[in-house]
Amino acid sequence: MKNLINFLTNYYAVFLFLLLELIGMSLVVSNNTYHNIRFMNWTADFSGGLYDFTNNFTEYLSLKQSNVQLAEENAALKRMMPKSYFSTENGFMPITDTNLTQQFQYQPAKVIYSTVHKRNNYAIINKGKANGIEPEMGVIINNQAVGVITEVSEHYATVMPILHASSRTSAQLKTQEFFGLITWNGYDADTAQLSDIPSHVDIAQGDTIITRQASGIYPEGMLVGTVASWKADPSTGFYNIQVDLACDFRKLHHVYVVKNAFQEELIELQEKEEELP
Amino acid sequence: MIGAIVGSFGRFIFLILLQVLVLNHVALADHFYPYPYLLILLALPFELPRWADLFIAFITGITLDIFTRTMGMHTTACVFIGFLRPIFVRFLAPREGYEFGTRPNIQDLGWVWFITYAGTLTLLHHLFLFFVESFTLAQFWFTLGKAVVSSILSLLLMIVFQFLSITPKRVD
Repeated sequence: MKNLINFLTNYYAVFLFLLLELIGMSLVVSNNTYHNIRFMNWTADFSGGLYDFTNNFTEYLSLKQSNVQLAEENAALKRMMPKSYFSTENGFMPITDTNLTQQFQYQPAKVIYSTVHKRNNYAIINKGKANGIEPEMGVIINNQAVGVITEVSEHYATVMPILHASSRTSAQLKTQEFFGLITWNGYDADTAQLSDIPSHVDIAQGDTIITRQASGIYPEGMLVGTVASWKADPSTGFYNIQVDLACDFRKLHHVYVVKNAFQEELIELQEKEEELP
Repeated sequence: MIGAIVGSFGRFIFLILLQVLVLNHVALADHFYPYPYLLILLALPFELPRWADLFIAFITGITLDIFTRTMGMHTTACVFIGFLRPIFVRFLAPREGYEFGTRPNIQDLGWVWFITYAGTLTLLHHLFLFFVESFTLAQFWFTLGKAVVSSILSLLLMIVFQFLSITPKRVD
Protein backbone atom coordinates (compact mmCIF):
# COMPACT_ATOMS: atom_id res chain seq x y z
CA MET A 1 0.00 0.00 0.00
CA LYS A 2 2.80 2.33 0.92
CA ASN A 3 4.53 1.43 -2.30
CA LEU A 4 1.40 2.16 -4.23
CA ILE A 5 1.05 5.57 -2.62
CA ASN A 6 4.70 6.25 -3.30
CA PHE A 7 4.24 5.23 -6.88
CA LEU A 8 1.22 7.47 -7.28
CA THR A 9 2.88 10.48 -5.69
CA ASN A 10 6.07 10.01 -7.68
CA TYR A 11 4.24 9.82 -10.95
CA TYR A 12 1.29 12.06 -10.20
CA ALA A 13 2.38 14.39 -13.00
CA VAL A 14 2.01 11.61 -15.53
CA PHE A 15 -1.48 10.76 -14.30
CA LEU A 16 -2.48 14.38 -14.22
CA PHE A 17 -1.07 14.81 -17.70
CA LEU A 18 -3.00 11.83 -19.00
CA LEU A 19 -6.17 12.97 -17.28
CA LEU A 20 -5.95 16.47 -18.74
CA GLU A 21 -5.12 15.06 -22.19
CA LEU A 22 -8.12 12.79 -21.93
CA ILE A 23 -10.33 15.75 -21.10
CA GLY A 24 -8.81 17.69 -23.99
CA MET A 25 -9.26 14.84 -26.43
CA SER A 26 -12.83 14.28 -25.42
CA LEU A 27 -13.39 17.98 -25.98
CA VAL A 28 -11.85 17.64 -29.44
CA VAL A 29 -13.92 14.65 -30.39
CA SER A 30 -17.20 15.82 -28.96
CA ASN A 31 -17.08 19.41 -30.13
CA ASN A 32 -15.65 19.20 -33.62
CA THR A 33 -17.80 17.48 -36.19
CA TYR A 34 -14.88 16.50 -38.37
CA HIS A 35 -12.95 14.95 -35.53
CA ASN A 36 -16.04 13.26 -34.25
CA ILE A 37 -16.66 11.59 -37.59
CA ARG A 38 -13.05 10.48 -37.91
CA PHE A 39 -13.06 9.14 -34.39
CA MET A 40 -16.25 7.23 -35.07
CA ASN A 41 -14.71 5.79 -38.21
CA TRP A 42 -11.67 4.63 -36.31
CA THR A 43 -13.68 2.99 -33.60
CA ALA A 44 -15.94 1.40 -36.18
CA ASP A 45 -12.91 0.07 -38.04
CA PHE A 46 -11.46 -1.25 -34.85
CA SER A 47 -14.60 -2.89 -33.54
CA GLY A 48 -15.43 -4.19 -37.02
CA GLY A 49 -11.99 -5.74 -37.32
CA LEU A 50 -12.33 -7.33 -33.91
CA TYR A 51 -15.75 -8.77 -34.71
CA ASP A 52 -14.44 -10.09 -38.01
CA PHE A 53 -11.58 -11.75 -36.23
CA THR A 54 -13.72 -13.44 -33.62
CA ASN A 55 -16.35 -14.35 -36.18
CA ASN A 56 -13.72 -16.26 -38.13
CA PHE A 57 -13.58 -18.68 -35.24
CA THR A 58 -17.13 -18.73 -34.02
CA GLU A 59 -18.65 -19.40 -37.43
CA TYR A 60 -17.14 -22.90 -37.42
CA LEU A 61 -19.11 -23.73 -34.35
CA SER A 62 -22.39 -23.13 -36.09
CA LEU A 63 -21.51 -24.76 -39.42
CA LYS A 64 -23.76 -27.75 -38.92
CA GLN A 65 -26.68 -25.58 -38.01
CA SER A 66 -25.98 -23.33 -40.97
CA ASN A 67 -25.95 -26.32 -43.29
CA VAL A 68 -29.36 -27.46 -42.17
CA GLN A 69 -30.65 -23.97 -42.50
CA LEU A 70 -29.24 -23.59 -46.00
CA ALA A 71 -30.61 -26.94 -47.11
CA GLU A 72 -34.06 -25.96 -45.89
CA GLU A 73 -33.79 -22.66 -47.64
CA ASN A 74 -32.72 -24.38 -50.87
CA ALA A 75 -35.68 -26.69 -50.67
CA ALA A 76 -38.01 -23.78 -50.15
CA LEU A 77 -36.53 -21.94 -53.11
CA LYS A 78 -36.77 -25.04 -55.31
CA ARG A 79 -40.40 -25.31 -54.43
CA MET A 80 -40.81 -21.79 -55.71
CA MET A 81 -39.04 -22.45 -59.02
CA PRO A 82 -41.29 -22.07 -62.10
CA LYS A 83 -40.21 -25.56 -63.16
CA SER A 84 -42.05 -27.01 -60.20
CA TYR A 85 -45.33 -25.70 -61.47
CA PHE A 86 -47.60 -26.58 -64.27
CA SER A 87 -49.05 -23.34 -65.36
CA THR A 88 -52.78 -23.28 -64.86
CA GLU A 89 -52.83 -19.68 -65.85
CA ASN A 90 -55.46 -19.58 -68.47
CA GLY A 91 -55.21 -17.00 -71.18
CA PHE A 92 -54.55 -13.34 -71.21
CA MET A 93 -54.91 -11.17 -68.21
CA PRO A 94 -57.27 -8.34 -68.93
CA ILE A 95 -56.69 -5.03 -67.23
CA THR A 96 -59.79 -3.09 -66.39
CA ASP A 97 -59.84 0.65 -66.66
CA THR A 98 -62.97 2.74 -66.78
CA ASN A 99 -61.57 5.39 -69.09
CA LEU A 100 -59.69 3.18 -71.46
CA THR A 101 -60.66 -0.19 -72.82
CA GLN A 102 -57.76 -2.45 -73.35
CA GLN A 103 -57.40 -3.31 -77.00
CA PHE A 104 -54.18 -5.26 -76.99
CA GLN A 105 -53.16 -7.88 -74.53
CA TYR A 106 -49.77 -9.51 -74.53
CA GLN A 107 -48.68 -12.92 -73.45
CA PRO A 108 -45.10 -14.01 -73.37
CA ALA A 109 -44.21 -17.19 -75.20
CA LYS A 110 -41.09 -19.11 -75.96
CA VAL A 111 -40.16 -20.15 -79.49
CA ILE A 112 -39.29 -23.84 -79.28
CA TYR A 113 -38.73 -24.45 -82.96
CA SER A 114 -38.23 -22.21 -85.95
CA THR A 115 -36.84 -22.30 -89.47
CA VAL A 116 -35.50 -19.61 -91.77
CA HIS A 117 -34.08 -21.50 -94.75
CA LYS A 118 -37.24 -22.96 -96.21
CA ARG A 119 -39.43 -21.34 -98.79
CA ASN A 120 -42.22 -21.36 -96.26
CA ASN A 121 -40.86 -21.01 -92.80
CA TYR A 122 -42.68 -21.49 -89.56
CA ALA A 123 -42.10 -21.37 -85.85
CA ILE A 124 -43.68 -23.17 -82.92
CA ILE A 125 -44.33 -21.52 -79.58
CA ASN A 126 -45.02 -23.16 -76.25
CA LYS A 127 -48.42 -21.62 -75.72
CA GLY A 128 -51.66 -22.99 -77.13
CA LYS A 129 -55.38 -23.19 -76.75
CA ALA A 130 -54.98 -23.75 -73.02
CA ASN A 131 -53.42 -20.30 -72.77
CA GLY A 132 -56.04 -18.66 -74.92
CA ILE A 133 -54.01 -18.53 -78.11
CA GLU A 134 -56.11 -18.38 -81.26
CA PRO A 135 -55.32 -18.23 -84.97
CA GLU A 136 -54.81 -14.77 -86.47
CA MET A 137 -53.14 -13.41 -83.39
CA GLY A 138 -50.00 -11.44 -83.98
CA VAL A 139 -46.57 -12.36 -82.71
CA ILE A 140 -44.03 -9.68 -81.92
CA ILE A 141 -40.57 -9.53 -80.49
CA ASN A 142 -39.06 -6.37 -79.07
CA ASN A 143 -41.73 -4.25 -80.83
CA GLN A 144 -40.89 -5.84 -84.15
CA ALA A 145 -43.42 -7.76 -86.21
CA VAL A 146 -42.70 -11.49 -86.41
CA GLY A 147 -45.75 -13.18 -87.81
CA VAL A 148 -49.22 -14.56 -87.28
CA ILE A 149 -50.54 -17.55 -85.38
CA THR A 150 -51.92 -20.11 -87.85
CA GLU A 151 -52.47 -23.47 -86.16
CA VAL A 152 -53.25 -23.93 -82.49
CA SER A 153 -53.07 -27.13 -80.49
CA GLU A 154 -53.78 -27.60 -76.81
CA HIS A 155 -50.36 -26.46 -75.59
CA TYR A 156 -48.58 -25.24 -78.73
CA ALA A 157 -49.17 -22.96 -81.63
CA THR A 158 -47.64 -22.46 -85.05
CA VAL A 159 -46.50 -19.07 -86.18
CA MET A 160 -46.37 -18.08 -89.80
CA PRO A 161 -43.57 -15.55 -89.90
CA ILE A 162 -43.11 -12.88 -92.52
CA LEU A 163 -40.76 -15.39 -94.18
CA HIS A 164 -43.62 -17.34 -95.76
CA ALA A 165 -45.11 -17.32 -99.23
CA SER A 166 -48.61 -16.76 -97.88
CA SER A 167 -47.58 -14.06 -95.49
CA ARG A 168 -49.22 -10.72 -96.17
CA THR A 169 -48.44 -7.99 -93.72
CA SER A 170 -50.06 -4.64 -94.00
CA ALA A 171 -47.35 -2.01 -93.56
CA GLN A 172 -46.69 1.64 -94.11
CA LEU A 173 -43.85 4.08 -94.50
CA LYS A 174 -43.52 5.73 -91.15
CA THR A 175 -42.99 9.27 -92.38
CA GLN A 176 -44.96 9.27 -95.64
CA GLU A 177 -47.90 7.19 -94.41
CA PHE A 178 -48.30 5.44 -97.76
CA PHE A 179 -49.14 1.82 -97.18
CA GLY A 180 -48.58 -1.47 -98.90
CA LEU A 181 -48.10 -5.15 -98.34
CA ILE A 182 -45.04 -6.95 -97.10
CA THR A 183 -44.41 -10.25 -98.84
CA TRP A 184 -41.42 -12.54 -99.04
CA ASN A 185 -39.88 -13.89 -102.21
CA GLY A 186 -38.13 -16.73 -100.46
CA TYR A 187 -34.50 -15.82 -101.13
CA ASP A 188 -33.08 -14.04 -98.12
CA ALA A 189 -34.18 -14.27 -94.51
CA ASP A 190 -33.07 -10.66 -94.03
CA THR A 191 -34.98 -9.11 -96.89
CA ALA A 192 -38.67 -8.87 -97.64
CA GLN A 193 -40.57 -6.99 -100.29
CA LEU A 194 -42.95 -4.10 -99.96
CA SER A 195 -45.40 -3.51 -102.80
CA ASP A 196 -48.21 -1.08 -103.57
CA ILE A 197 -46.30 2.08 -102.77
CA PRO A 198 -47.01 4.50 -105.65
CA SER A 199 -43.93 5.48 -107.62
CA HIS A 200 -44.46 9.22 -107.17
CA VAL A 201 -43.62 8.91 -103.50
CA ASP A 202 -40.21 10.20 -102.48
CA ILE A 203 -38.51 7.43 -100.61
CA ALA A 204 -35.03 7.23 -99.29
CA GLN A 205 -32.79 4.46 -98.12
CA GLY A 206 -33.30 3.76 -94.45
CA ASP A 207 -36.91 4.93 -94.34
CA THR A 208 -38.68 3.08 -91.55
CA ILE A 209 -41.50 0.69 -92.33
CA ILE A 210 -44.02 -0.09 -89.62
CA THR A 211 -47.14 -2.20 -89.32
CA ARG A 212 -50.63 -0.91 -89.94
CA GLN A 213 -53.68 -1.93 -88.04
CA ALA A 214 -55.55 -2.88 -91.18
CA SER A 215 -55.94 -6.59 -90.49
CA GLY A 216 -55.96 -6.11 -86.74
CA ILE A 217 -53.11 -8.51 -86.22
CA TYR A 218 -50.45 -6.16 -84.90
CA PRO A 219 -50.75 -3.02 -82.89
CA GLU A 220 -49.97 -0.03 -85.01
CA GLY A 221 -46.33 0.97 -85.30
CA MET A 222 -44.54 -2.35 -84.85
CA LEU A 223 -41.26 -2.12 -86.68
CA VAL A 224 -41.00 -4.20 -89.84
CA GLY A 225 -37.75 -2.94 -91.30
CA THR A 226 -36.10 -0.22 -93.31
CA VAL A 227 -36.00 0.55 -96.99
CA ALA A 228 -32.93 -1.06 -98.55
CA SER A 229 -33.45 -0.42 -102.25
CA TRP A 230 -36.30 0.22 -104.68
CA LYS A 231 -37.20 0.06 -108.30
CA ALA A 232 -40.17 1.72 -109.96
CA ASP A 233 -42.26 -0.59 -112.12
CA PRO A 234 -43.54 1.52 -115.06
CA SER A 235 -46.24 -0.99 -115.99
CA THR A 236 -47.99 -0.76 -112.63
CA GLY A 237 -46.94 2.63 -111.37
CA PHE A 238 -45.77 1.14 -108.10
CA TYR A 239 -42.40 0.61 -106.49
CA ASN A 240 -40.83 -2.72 -105.81
CA ILE A 241 -39.15 -2.03 -102.53
CA GLN A 242 -36.64 -4.32 -100.88
CA VAL A 243 -37.01 -4.15 -97.15
CA ASP A 244 -34.23 -4.85 -94.68
CA LEU A 245 -36.14 -6.77 -92.02
CA ALA A 246 -35.67 -5.47 -88.49
CA CYS A 247 -36.37 -8.77 -86.86
CA ASP A 248 -33.65 -11.40 -86.89
CA PHE A 249 -35.61 -14.56 -87.53
CA ARG A 250 -32.58 -16.68 -86.78
CA LYS A 251 -32.70 -15.59 -83.16
CA LEU A 252 -36.29 -15.96 -82.10
CA HIS A 253 -36.51 -16.94 -78.47
CA HIS A 254 -38.87 -14.98 -76.30
CA VAL A 255 -41.77 -13.49 -78.18
CA TYR A 256 -45.11 -11.99 -77.26
CA VAL A 257 -48.45 -13.09 -78.61
CA VAL A 258 -50.73 -10.14 -79.18
CA LYS A 259 -54.45 -10.44 -78.73
CA ASN A 260 -56.51 -7.73 -80.31
CA ALA A 261 -59.83 -7.54 -78.49
CA PHE A 262 -61.47 -5.82 -81.46
CA GLN A 263 -60.13 -8.12 -84.14
CA GLU A 264 -63.38 -10.02 -84.72
CA GLU A 265 -65.28 -6.81 -85.04
CA LEU A 266 -62.80 -5.56 -87.59
CA ILE A 267 -62.83 -8.75 -89.63
CA GLU A 268 -66.62 -8.85 -89.61
CA LEU A 269 -66.75 -5.35 -90.92
CA GLN A 270 -64.23 -6.11 -93.65
CA GLU A 271 -66.16 -9.21 -94.72
CA LYS A 272 -69.39 -7.26 -94.97
CA GLU A 273 -67.65 -4.75 -97.17
CA GLU A 274 -66.38 -7.49 -99.44
CA GLU A 275 -69.82 -9.02 -99.77
CA LEU A 276 -71.17 -5.85 -101.28
CA PRO A 277 -71.62 -6.05 -105.01
CA MET B 1 7.72 35.94 -6.53
CA ILE B 2 4.86 38.42 -6.78
CA GLY B 3 6.66 39.97 -9.70
CA ALA B 4 6.85 36.63 -11.47
CA ILE B 5 3.14 36.02 -10.98
CA VAL B 6 2.17 39.49 -12.21
CA GLY B 7 4.57 39.15 -15.12
CA SER B 8 3.19 35.77 -16.10
CA PHE B 9 -0.37 37.01 -15.84
CA GLY B 10 0.40 40.07 -17.95
CA ARG B 11 2.09 37.90 -20.51
CA PHE B 12 -0.94 35.64 -20.53
CA ILE B 13 -3.38 38.50 -21.22
CA PHE B 14 -1.18 40.16 -23.80
CA LEU B 15 -0.23 37.06 -25.74
CA ILE B 16 -3.74 35.63 -25.79
CA LEU B 17 -5.08 38.94 -27.09
CA LEU B 18 -2.28 39.18 -29.65
CA GLN B 19 -2.97 35.65 -30.77
CA VAL B 20 -6.75 35.92 -30.92
CA LEU B 21 -7.13 39.44 -32.24
CA VAL B 22 -4.21 39.66 -34.63
CA LEU B 23 -2.29 36.53 -35.42
CA ASN B 24 -5.21 34.21 -35.92
CA HIS B 25 -6.26 36.39 -38.81
CA VAL B 26 -2.84 36.14 -40.37
CA ALA B 27 -2.25 33.02 -42.38
CA LEU B 28 1.01 33.22 -44.26
CA ALA B 29 0.66 31.54 -47.65
CA ASP B 30 -2.68 30.21 -46.41
CA HIS B 31 -1.16 27.42 -44.38
CA PHE B 32 1.30 28.79 -41.85
CA TYR B 33 -0.07 29.88 -38.54
CA PRO B 34 2.36 31.22 -35.95
CA TYR B 35 1.33 30.53 -32.36
CA PRO B 36 3.69 32.59 -30.19
CA TYR B 37 1.16 32.42 -27.35
CA LEU B 38 3.11 29.34 -26.33
CA LEU B 39 5.56 31.72 -24.71
CA ILE B 40 3.03 31.96 -21.87
CA LEU B 41 4.01 28.42 -20.93
CA LEU B 42 7.64 28.60 -21.93
CA ALA B 43 8.30 31.69 -19.82
CA LEU B 44 6.85 30.24 -16.63
CA PRO B 45 9.29 30.12 -13.72
CA PHE B 46 11.38 26.98 -13.27
CA GLU B 47 10.33 26.59 -9.66
CA LEU B 48 6.72 25.87 -10.53
CA PRO B 49 5.40 22.49 -9.35
CA ARG B 50 4.43 20.12 -12.11
CA TRP B 51 0.72 20.20 -11.38
CA ALA B 52 0.79 23.99 -11.74
CA ASP B 53 2.53 23.64 -15.10
CA LEU B 54 -0.16 21.25 -16.27
CA PHE B 55 -3.06 23.33 -15.01
CA ILE B 56 -1.73 26.56 -16.43
CA ALA B 57 -1.23 24.77 -19.74
CA PHE B 58 -4.77 23.46 -19.62
CA ILE B 59 -6.22 26.87 -18.87
CA THR B 60 -4.13 28.59 -21.54
CA GLY B 61 -5.13 26.00 -24.12
CA ILE B 62 -8.81 26.06 -23.34
CA THR B 63 -8.88 29.86 -23.33
CA LEU B 64 -7.46 29.89 -26.82
CA ASP B 65 -9.78 27.11 -27.90
CA ILE B 66 -12.78 29.07 -26.73
CA PHE B 67 -11.70 32.03 -28.83
CA THR B 68 -10.70 30.09 -31.92
CA ARG B 69 -13.60 27.62 -31.71
CA THR B 70 -11.29 24.67 -31.98
CA MET B 71 -12.47 22.99 -28.81
CA GLY B 72 -9.77 20.82 -27.28
CA MET B 73 -7.07 21.10 -29.91
CA HIS B 74 -4.96 23.78 -28.26
CA THR B 75 -5.82 22.30 -24.88
CA THR B 76 -4.30 18.94 -25.68
CA ALA B 77 -1.26 20.51 -27.33
CA CYS B 78 -0.65 22.83 -24.36
CA VAL B 79 -1.09 20.10 -21.77
CA PHE B 80 1.41 18.08 -23.76
CA ILE B 81 3.91 20.94 -23.50
CA GLY B 82 3.02 21.51 -19.86
CA PHE B 83 4.00 17.94 -19.23
CA LEU B 84 7.21 18.00 -21.28
CA ARG B 85 8.54 21.37 -20.19
CA PRO B 86 9.80 20.44 -16.71
CA ILE B 87 11.48 17.34 -18.17
CA PHE B 88 13.10 19.48 -20.80
CA VAL B 89 14.18 22.10 -18.31
CA ARG B 90 15.95 19.44 -16.27
CA PHE B 91 17.51 17.99 -19.38
CA LEU B 92 18.91 21.35 -20.48
CA ALA B 93 20.12 22.35 -17.04
CA PRO B 94 23.71 23.50 -16.74
CA ARG B 95 25.98 21.22 -14.76
CA GLU B 96 25.65 23.19 -11.56
CA GLY B 97 21.89 23.61 -11.95
CA TYR B 98 19.86 26.77 -12.38
CA GLU B 99 20.45 29.59 -9.97
CA PHE B 100 17.35 30.35 -7.99
CA GLY B 101 15.24 32.96 -9.69
CA THR B 102 16.69 32.40 -13.17
CA ARG B 103 14.07 33.03 -15.79
CA PRO B 104 13.86 30.95 -18.96
CA ASN B 105 14.71 33.73 -21.37
CA ILE B 106 17.51 34.99 -23.60
CA GLN B 107 18.60 37.64 -21.15
CA ASP B 108 19.20 35.15 -18.37
CA LEU B 109 20.38 32.04 -20.19
CA GLY B 110 21.57 33.14 -23.60
CA TRP B 111 20.68 32.55 -27.22
CA VAL B 112 21.75 28.94 -27.61
CA TRP B 113 19.89 27.77 -24.56
CA PHE B 114 16.72 29.66 -25.42
CA ILE B 115 16.58 28.57 -29.04
CA THR B 116 17.16 24.95 -28.10
CA TYR B 117 14.56 25.12 -25.35
CA ALA B 118 11.89 27.17 -27.06
CA GLY B 119 12.57 25.81 -30.53
CA THR B 120 12.17 22.19 -29.56
CA LEU B 121 9.10 22.70 -27.41
CA THR B 122 7.48 24.95 -30.00
CA LEU B 123 8.09 22.38 -32.70
CA LEU B 124 6.62 19.63 -30.54
CA HIS B 125 3.63 21.79 -29.69
CA HIS B 126 2.98 22.66 -33.30
CA LEU B 127 3.38 19.08 -34.46
CA PHE B 128 0.94 17.94 -31.83
CA LEU B 129 -1.47 20.74 -32.66
CA PHE B 130 -1.43 20.28 -36.42
CA PHE B 131 -1.72 16.54 -36.23
CA VAL B 132 -4.62 16.74 -33.83
CA GLU B 133 -6.13 19.29 -36.17
CA SER B 134 -5.82 17.09 -39.25
CA PHE B 135 -6.59 13.98 -37.14
CA THR B 136 -5.14 11.72 -39.80
CA LEU B 137 -1.75 10.62 -41.04
CA ALA B 138 -2.99 10.69 -44.62
CA GLN B 139 -1.37 14.07 -45.37
CA PHE B 140 1.65 13.39 -43.23
CA TRP B 141 4.26 15.42 -45.10
CA PHE B 142 1.97 18.35 -45.69
CA THR B 143 1.07 18.53 -42.02
CA LEU B 144 4.70 18.11 -41.00
CA GLY B 145 5.78 20.94 -43.29
CA LYS B 146 3.06 23.17 -41.96
CA ALA B 147 4.16 22.49 -38.39
CA VAL B 148 7.85 23.09 -39.09
CA VAL B 149 7.38 26.38 -40.95
CA SER B 150 4.83 27.63 -38.42
CA SER B 151 7.25 26.74 -35.60
CA ILE B 152 10.01 28.85 -37.12
CA LEU B 153 7.62 31.78 -37.45
CA SER B 154 6.42 31.33 -33.87
CA LEU B 155 9.96 31.17 -32.56
CA LEU B 156 10.90 34.39 -34.37
CA LEU B 157 7.88 36.16 -32.92
CA MET B 158 8.71 34.90 -29.43
CA ILE B 159 12.24 36.24 -29.68
CA VAL B 160 10.92 39.59 -30.86
CA PHE B 161 8.48 39.62 -27.96
CA GLN B 162 11.28 38.88 -25.51
CA PHE B 163 13.23 41.89 -26.69
CA LEU B 164 10.16 44.13 -26.58
CA SER B 165 9.47 43.26 -22.98
CA ILE B 166 12.99 44.06 -21.88
CA THR B 167 13.81 43.18 -18.35
CA PRO B 168 17.37 43.67 -17.21
CA LYS B 169 19.34 40.63 -16.24
CA ARG B 170 18.95 39.97 -12.59
CA VAL B 171 21.86 40.98 -10.54
CA ASP B 172 22.22 39.00 -7.41
